[in-house]
Amino acid sequence: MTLRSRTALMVLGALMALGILHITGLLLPVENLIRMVLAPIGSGMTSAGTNLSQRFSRDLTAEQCRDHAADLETQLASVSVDYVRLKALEEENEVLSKTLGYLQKQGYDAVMGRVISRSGIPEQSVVMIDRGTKDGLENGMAVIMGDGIFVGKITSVQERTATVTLLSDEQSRVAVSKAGQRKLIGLVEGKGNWTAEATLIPQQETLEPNDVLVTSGTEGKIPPNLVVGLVNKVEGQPTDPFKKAAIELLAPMEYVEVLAVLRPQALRPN
Amino acid sequence: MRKSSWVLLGAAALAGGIYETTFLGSAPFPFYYIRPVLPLCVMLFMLNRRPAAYVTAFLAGGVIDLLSATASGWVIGRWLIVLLVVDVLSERVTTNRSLYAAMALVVMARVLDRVLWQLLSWVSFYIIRQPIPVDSWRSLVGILMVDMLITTLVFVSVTFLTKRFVISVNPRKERYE
Repeated sequence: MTLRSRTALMVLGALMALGILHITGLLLPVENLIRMVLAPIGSGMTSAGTNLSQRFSRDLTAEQCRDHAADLETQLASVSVDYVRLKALEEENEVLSKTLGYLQKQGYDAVMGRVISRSGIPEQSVVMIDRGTKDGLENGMAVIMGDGIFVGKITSVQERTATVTLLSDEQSRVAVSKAGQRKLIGLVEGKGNWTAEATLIPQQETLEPNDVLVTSGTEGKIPPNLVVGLVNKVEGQPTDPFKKAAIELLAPMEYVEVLAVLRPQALRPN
Repeated sequence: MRKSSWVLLGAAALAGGIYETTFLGSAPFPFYYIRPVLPLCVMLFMLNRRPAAYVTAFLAGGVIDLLSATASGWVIGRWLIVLLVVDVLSERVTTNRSLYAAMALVVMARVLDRVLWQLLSWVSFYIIRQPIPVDSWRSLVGILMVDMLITTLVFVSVTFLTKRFVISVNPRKERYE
């Protein structure tokens, strides 16, 4: 037998052995250990890549900046009115909640995770974080950024890592309501390229630009009232059974580095 | 190869794997085309370092499979199979050690890797109804261009630093050696 044939046999044998060990799960402890060791380096490299991306991101032209500023002023006016109304409601709610002892029963706590890697395929918006089943994470849990901006769901979970499918991914679907209403009005679907669209909205629902969409709370592990995005443009003929709307996502999905997973307190590891 | 060379090679392979799975996904778009591991493995064949090429593909591919945010498409297996084919091609087809031979091998390796990836995606779709995400064919052109640039850089550097690819003419015999 020649050296080349021996090498080929060894390589194919090693691949078969690896495949069998992987499928039977015998390699899992080793895989988890390697992931755990490499996670900090991966996180550092992802962070370096993100910083570089932000530095080289395309600057807007003066005209685009003016248009953007005009849009933001319109949004600000609309949000200011809501803010005053909500502030009054919040004060009222605070008094009521304290009275009921509601704050002690929030039901969720946040597990912070750093992004280790992102999908190398531009059409996909999927990231891996350095938290897993050891931290009480499960499939379907909500992932947020900052003050409750919903960015995606956990779609697969290992012992020390988890995969988060972001809102803009084409596989992403989340049930939404209009802010302040607990009524399910449709789904927000990812369209790739860091954009999303609200679909399956019944014609009788009123939806206008700058309306805030929030999670409806109809999915088991996703609490209600997490901000999903702002309505940009509503589309659809009056004769269509459903209408759809372009959504402006509020979190910069392409630059996320630290995320929080909402874990029901009952699943908190001891 | 000396022990220290193996250690360096292992570290470089791990760094290459980490680069291709973590940095590449978050870096600006031009970096998307820069995927140095496969061309470097092929160059190791050109330098007659066959075990080193297999070890590099094994380590880098393993890291990519483990740290990839999406289903990576069994990179470790694909790359090792590609290198087995490159091994045969470099011995039977592109037998000379020229820059063009290196480029041809790198292009063949990359295209074969892409074909295997596509096949795996189809097989995955038919078995578990979930296709493995695959790069677009259009992006392959950009990746191939960068591959050839990397190959040229490595080939020229090796020629400058060592005498491996230099064809010498013996003044006494007056013919190539």
